[in-house]
Amino acid sequence: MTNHWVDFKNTDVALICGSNCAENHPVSFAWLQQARDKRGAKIISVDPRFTRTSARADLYCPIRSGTNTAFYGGMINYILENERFHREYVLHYSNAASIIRDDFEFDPETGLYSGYDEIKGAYTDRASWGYARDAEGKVRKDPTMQDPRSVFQIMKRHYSRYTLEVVAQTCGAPLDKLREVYELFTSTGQVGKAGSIMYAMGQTQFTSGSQNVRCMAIIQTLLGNMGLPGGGVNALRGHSNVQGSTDMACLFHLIPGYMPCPTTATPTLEAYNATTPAPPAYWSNRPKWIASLLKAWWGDAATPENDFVYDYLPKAQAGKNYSHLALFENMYNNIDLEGLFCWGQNPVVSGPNSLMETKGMENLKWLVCLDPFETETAAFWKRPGADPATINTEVFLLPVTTFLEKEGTVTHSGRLLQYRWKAVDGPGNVRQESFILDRLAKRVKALYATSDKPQDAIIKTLTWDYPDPLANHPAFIDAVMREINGKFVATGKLVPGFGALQDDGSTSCGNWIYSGMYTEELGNRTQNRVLDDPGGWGAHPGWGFSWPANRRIIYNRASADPAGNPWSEDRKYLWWDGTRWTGYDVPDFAPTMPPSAPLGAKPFIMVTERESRIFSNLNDGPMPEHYEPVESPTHNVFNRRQNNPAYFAGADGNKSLGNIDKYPIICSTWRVCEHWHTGALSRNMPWLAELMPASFVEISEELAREKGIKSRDMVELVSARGKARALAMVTPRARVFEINGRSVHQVGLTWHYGFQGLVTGDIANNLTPHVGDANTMIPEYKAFLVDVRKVTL
Amino acid sequence: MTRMARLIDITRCTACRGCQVSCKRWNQLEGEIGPFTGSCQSHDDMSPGRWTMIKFYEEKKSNGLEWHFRKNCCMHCAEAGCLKACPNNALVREENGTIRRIEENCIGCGHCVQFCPFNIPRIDEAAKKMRKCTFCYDRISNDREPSCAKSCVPQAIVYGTWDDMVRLAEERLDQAKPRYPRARIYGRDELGGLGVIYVLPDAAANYGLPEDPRLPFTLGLWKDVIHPVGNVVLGASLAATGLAFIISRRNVMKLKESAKLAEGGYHDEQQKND
Repeated sequence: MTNHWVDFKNTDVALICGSNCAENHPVSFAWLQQARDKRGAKIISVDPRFTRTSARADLYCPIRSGTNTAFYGGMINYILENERFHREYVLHYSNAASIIRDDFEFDPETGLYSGYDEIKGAYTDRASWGYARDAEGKVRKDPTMQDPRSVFQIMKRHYSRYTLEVVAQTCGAPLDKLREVYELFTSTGQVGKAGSIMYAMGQTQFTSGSQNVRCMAIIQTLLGNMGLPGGGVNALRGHSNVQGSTDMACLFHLIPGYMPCPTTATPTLEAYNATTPAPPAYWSNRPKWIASLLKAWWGDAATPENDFVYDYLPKAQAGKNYSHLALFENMYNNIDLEGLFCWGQNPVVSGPNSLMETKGMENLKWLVCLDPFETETAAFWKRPGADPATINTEVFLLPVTTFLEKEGTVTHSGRLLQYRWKAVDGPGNVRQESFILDRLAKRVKALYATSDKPQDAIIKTLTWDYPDPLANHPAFIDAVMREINGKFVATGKLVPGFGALQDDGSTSCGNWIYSGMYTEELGNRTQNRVLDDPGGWGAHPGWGFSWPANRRIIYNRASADPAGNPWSEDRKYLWWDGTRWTGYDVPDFAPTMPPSAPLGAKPFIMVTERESRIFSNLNDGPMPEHYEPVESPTHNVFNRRQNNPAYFAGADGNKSLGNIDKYPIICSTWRVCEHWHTGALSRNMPWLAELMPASFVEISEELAREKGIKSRDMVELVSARGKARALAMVTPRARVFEINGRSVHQVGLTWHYGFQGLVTGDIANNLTPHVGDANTMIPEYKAFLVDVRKVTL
Repeated sequence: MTRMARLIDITRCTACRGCQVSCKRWNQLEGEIGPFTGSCQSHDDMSPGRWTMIKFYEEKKSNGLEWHFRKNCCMHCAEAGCLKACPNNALVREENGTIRRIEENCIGCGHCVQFCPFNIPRIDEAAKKMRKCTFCYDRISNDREPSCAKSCVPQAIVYGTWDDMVRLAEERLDQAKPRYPRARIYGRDELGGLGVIYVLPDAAANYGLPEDPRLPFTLGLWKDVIHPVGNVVLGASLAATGLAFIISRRNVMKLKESAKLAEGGYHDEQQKND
């Protein structure tokens, strides 16, 4: 989130699209309700089905799964056609006035940008997407934004094709509702108003998921909604610590603090640092952060002379994919992988094309699962239909504590780190994961302790000098947190923040974005519980610690105009007082840089141009364009390219796809309030299990009539990948969509169920395709094709 | 002590069912995994071990679909049918408005069930006891809010004095009207004022509530007038209620004994057995 949970109370219009937050993030509604009570805020729900969120919204508009870019493209067009944008904001704070190179082009016929390689299925030459530059190398600008090569005009031409009528037909949305949504949300383009976009996996789990997110960034930039209380692009993350897990790089392509994972293409520290974004991007400080990270990990062994033992970092093979999709594909094809550690993950239930992925696990020699219960993954060898005698995988199940039984921080969607003290001891001999990790590290180190081989120095010199967690777990956590925060090597004192980090080996830091959470002066700030709220915007700077630098709203310099005054007194949040930036939050800006300085009116500090990018650089294009989901019930009317030109299919993804003739119904997967992810905890908890005792599929009354299905009937869903049975919930909340002149049904089922636990059901991911987003490789869980039949017993 | 009440604002409930879980947790009631109901509703109705639940209502209206969620539980009525019907003084009205059940007096005879206009009490046949929402009497008499209200994130359930809750309901009604023009308050005037004040989006019947709940005239008469002077006069018009009452009266002592024995006998007997 650019903003945070409490900030929802400051919004004038909340657009909830791709999220069912009333149900899946109930706390969000406490704040939205406040916005409604105190500001008269309006809530919009855009969703394929009428959800509990829709039930509490002021305005509901259905759209078919997989048409978010079309929906947003229509909104961008509406903003531009009707001049609903915040002109000053767009001119000064975005790259709308920048001129793009002459050789850049987009062909609305083929649906491709310049630089595409059809054989490789990728944009291999993206040079033409760059800015046009003058003789000095500076980006050419047109402050009138009238130059036909300006980003503004390119955008205007591009989205002029996204008329209300075409968008309504593609999305299957009622035209009047669509117009109402556009009208209401774009009203926040007025100075003094703010609109928040709230989204979740209903935006990201598509082959064009990243472009959906780009759409939101563009819209919020056009409306001047970034950096303000009540605005922002707000990802509601599906787990109390998903933010923490990505911050700490539980991802294949990153190391902590969102630094890229070293690859064989960056074999030396010099080569790695050469990929650092150019100044004045704040990212240009990256060499300090990587040097400090290496110092944290290898201590005295890391010196400037030996490039801080950058050599010790494992390198990914350049060009090779290590995403979940690729990992399980390799497992299935018996390539590379011998064993698997599953920490807090249950891929048998949560992975796409589950039948294939689970079959792939049979090729593992060993599998270690850490979970409070025996999950479907831990029990994969005895799953229904499997023959344990033929599966040679050795499975270890290490019971671990639940969240109430362990200690440490979680980082929620609002980037807020909060320390949680252990409430009770776990039963029996169960352990906190960090204890297991500690023992694992120590055992591995012991194996190498006497080795003289130079390559074993990687393990031998790795620092692991924390207090023993068995003796004192809080002391262990404390030491880890200090290491993550960072220290001055010479004194061992904690650094006050990432601004103190250096690239000369004088500082160490486990994760630069978390730096400042634990300081000599302020102690462990994640444990702070001060409720003060200067300004009344809900920033609560004394509650926990919000990265970066305890900022509650990022890009908050944009809440003031170029001259440094609040855009409106009603939304006074951060301003220039003549000598420094002041207000109710930590400035996301150099605190004493005046607005008149060359970069003084450039709030988007992370990137080189310091502007919000309407025109960007993703694997699948510089601006979002609608492509159909890989399995779609219709043709793409915006261009002739049916699917995203760069989506990830791996070696096998395209082998198991179905079409509309055989699988005529759109299907999606979703969650309920009562169950948690794969149900590993909630389906073992009687009070939650009783609330949702069975896997069910929501079916419209029309489809139910057509198929002779009644509520509580058992139905079977079939896709090109597999089958899943579920009980029917016939409801007017599910619907038939009119798409490009054709009626298509959409159904959907929860993916919380599996064969273990107190309540069980077929795994919904038996149905989902093994294809993913062009940038993130997140699987396309949310839109695929099935057929539905009633099961007659 | 002043009368307390819960405001239940249907126009704000998001059906997270935190109240349903927290009720079970506070009262340590077991999870009851039943069959799928065909909707998001957890069970078809209340049970001896389920004192509150959210009921789901899909409504097709001219201007679109509505979906509402009503928390169902004991209303702790001012004119409580259960209390009037109870033959064994197992129900009492506390000063804070709680219709409190006295465990040892309850014989599970089911009269309260018959005379509750809201179909709330349930008989635990094995224990021969009636069970229902306690208004978290143990919490509220210790200055804690009821556990359902405590868990309610969107503040659809609010606990406070009866007067305050009526005032808040009026405020909430004004806030709800733009979205639900037919919204109304329920519980302020019904049965002398209920201990639950609802803000409903539409007519009570749409959410399974009686439009005009009343107690049978005979019920009040029986306990207030006839019973005090003894079982002397049995008017023909009172036969239905009266007769059943007498029969159950006769069974009271017997059942009381067996219930005590099932619990392990009377205190002094137990000592003797030791």
